This record gives sequence, C-alpha cells and structure tokens, in this order.
Amino acid sequence: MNPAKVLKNGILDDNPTFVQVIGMCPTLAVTTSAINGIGMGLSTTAVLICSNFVISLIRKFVPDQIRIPAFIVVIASFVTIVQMILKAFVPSLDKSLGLFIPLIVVNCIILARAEAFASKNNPLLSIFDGIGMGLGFTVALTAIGIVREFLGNGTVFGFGADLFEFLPKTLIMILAPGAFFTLAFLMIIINIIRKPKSK
Amino acid sequence: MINDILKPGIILFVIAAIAAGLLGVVNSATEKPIKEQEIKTMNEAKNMVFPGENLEFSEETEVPSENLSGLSSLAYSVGKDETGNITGYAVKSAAKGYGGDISIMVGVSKDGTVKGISILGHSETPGLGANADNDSFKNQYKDKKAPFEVVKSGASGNNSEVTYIDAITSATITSKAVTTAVNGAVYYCKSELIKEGA
Repeated sequence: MNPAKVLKNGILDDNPTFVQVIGMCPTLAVTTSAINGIGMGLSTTAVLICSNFVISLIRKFVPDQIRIPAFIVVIASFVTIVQMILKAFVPSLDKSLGLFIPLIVVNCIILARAEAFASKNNPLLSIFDGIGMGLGFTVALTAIGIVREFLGNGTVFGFGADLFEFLPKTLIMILAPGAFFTLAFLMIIINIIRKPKSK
Repeated sequence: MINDILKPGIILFVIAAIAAGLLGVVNSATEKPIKEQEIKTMNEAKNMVFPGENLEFSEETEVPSENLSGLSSLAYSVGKDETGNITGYAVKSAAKGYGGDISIMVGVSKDGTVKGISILGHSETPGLGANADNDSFKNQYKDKKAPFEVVKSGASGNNSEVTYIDAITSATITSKAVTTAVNGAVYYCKSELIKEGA
C-alpha cells in the first residue's frame, strides 16, 4: 500500500458517504447549504488526520480490551482542542461551525477509521488515510449541499440569488426529506459510474 | 489474571491523564482570548442596534425570570454617550421560535423608540425562518414605536396604536417570535427603566 493509493481509496473507491454509507447523521443534518457542507467536511478532516496519527502511534501500547475507550478519549480531546482554539482565535468560523464541531465526536467515520485503519497501519499511512477519507467526506457533503441549496434556495454558495430568480424554490429540499432525496439520487449516479469499472 | 484487569486499566488511566493534562493547558491558554472575544462581539452587537451612535455600555443586568411575560430571557445594559448621558438601552431578549429560542438584541432609545434590532442566535429553518436575519425584515422595526403586530401580507404601515410588521413568507411563527421579543424588550424598558431614569 502506498500513500497515493490510500488517498484515492478514501476519495473515490471507498468514499465514506457514497460507498461505505457511514457518518449519515452529519451528512443528512448539516448539508442545507454548500458552505455548511464544506465547513463540516473540513473540520472533520482536521480531526480525522490528528486522531488517525495519534491512534496509529499508540496502537502498540493499547491492549485490545480498552481500544475503544482509548480511541474515544483521543478523538474527544482533539475535538475539544479544535473548538477552544477556534473560539479564541477565529470566532467568525466558530460562529458558523459552532453547532457541528461537538458532532464530530460522534461521527462514526472517525471511530471507523481508527478501528479499521489507524490501529493496523503506520502513522504516515494513517495520516494519508485521514486526508483521503476526510476529503471524500468533504466532497460528498459539499455536493449534497450544493444540490439542496440550489433547488431549495436558488443560490450556490450563497451567491446567484438574482441569477436564478426565475427558478421555483423547492423548500422541501432544504428540509429533512430533501437530504434523503439528494443522497439517493447522488448515490444512483455514483453507482452507475462505478459499475463498469468493477466488472 | 489480576494483570488482565490491572494492566489495561493503568494504560487507559495514563491515556486519559495525558489527555486531561493537554486539555488543561489548552484551556488555560485560550480562556482569556475567548472571554475577550465574547465581550467584543457583545459590544459590537450592542452598537449595531444604535446605528450611527458610539455609546459606552454598562455591564449586563439579568432580569429575574418571574418578571418575564412570555419571553425566554431578558437582560439589559444602559448605553451612555461621551458626556455620560443615558441615550438608551441595549436589551438582549429571547423568545420561542419554530426551532427553539431566537435571541435578539434590541436598541431602545430613551423615549421608547426601537433604534434597531439584530439577531444574535437562532435555530430556524434555513431558507425560511432564517430569513429573519435579513435587513429587509429587521429594518421594519427601525425607528418605530412598539407595540408591533405581525400581519401576513401587504398591510404594512402604522395606525396610531400599533406598528405592523410584514411576516416572512412561510415563517409566521418566526416573525411572531421576533416581534414578541422586541415588544417584551420595549415594554420592560418603558415600565421599569425609563420611568426610574436608571
């Protein structure tokens, strides 16, 4: 396994949202706009890289019976540190992401990667896995966010309100059901693209 | 046998202790900047509801919950101009909206006129109730006198007793919550603060 392959694996072949279908709570909840999707995706990526790295470093000292509590302690500490630093030095970012950051602790992508990858591989590969999976998650959330924001609010990244004024605003796309619709249609598209390759 | 229990326990203890130590260090390093940021944002929010004026605000006074009629919380600070005269009150007020409490800041001048409002926090539906943060909605309160009343469409303007507020499309509950919070803030200023001259 080389870093490039690990990276590609996370973004495309094993995309956490569209292929593995994990981490659905934040995926469905925060993708009401493209900006929210990117924000949640990138903060998850940051935590995922740090937690993968540390968990990979301590993997040999942690006995099997206590690995889950040990991983959770590491993950929760990183999330808390990220939140305190954002609050103190980048309050504007904290204001727009504030709600989502504590959600990262319970995001199962982080624990899944700690279990499935970081606890079995060396620190360098684990960092790349964190980057790959994190970016895969970010891309997926942003894609869902763009579709929902465009159909529901007539904007893309908050812009274009005048440009798309003629379009009807389908409010249900921004409400909870819209998240399921969008996720389903994007998954159909991804599966159609992926299918020829796997044969 | 005892080792099977003791060893993992000690290792978990060490990991947790290191994590706790690290969090303590980061916390003590960020505690002061976080406080300063909060005070700064609060001051900016207070000055925003008195457009064009540069006021000094006193510390916030929390209004005890038994004196709130229909509001979730109420707190005020007294605004003074450079010469030390009381110009108005910045009132932080919250009322129940569609998705939880909507917290707003209302600038009330000495004669009970609303100078401006700003939304401090809400969890309303994006695209619907969240539009309460748009200037086109908030400016309806500007330089107007309470009480405000929400109307569904078109009938804006004012008669002698009430000022009409145009509701946000498909977000009447949100519009009403903001209006309740504004009315409560003005009412409190008029009945408790202005008559005392405090």
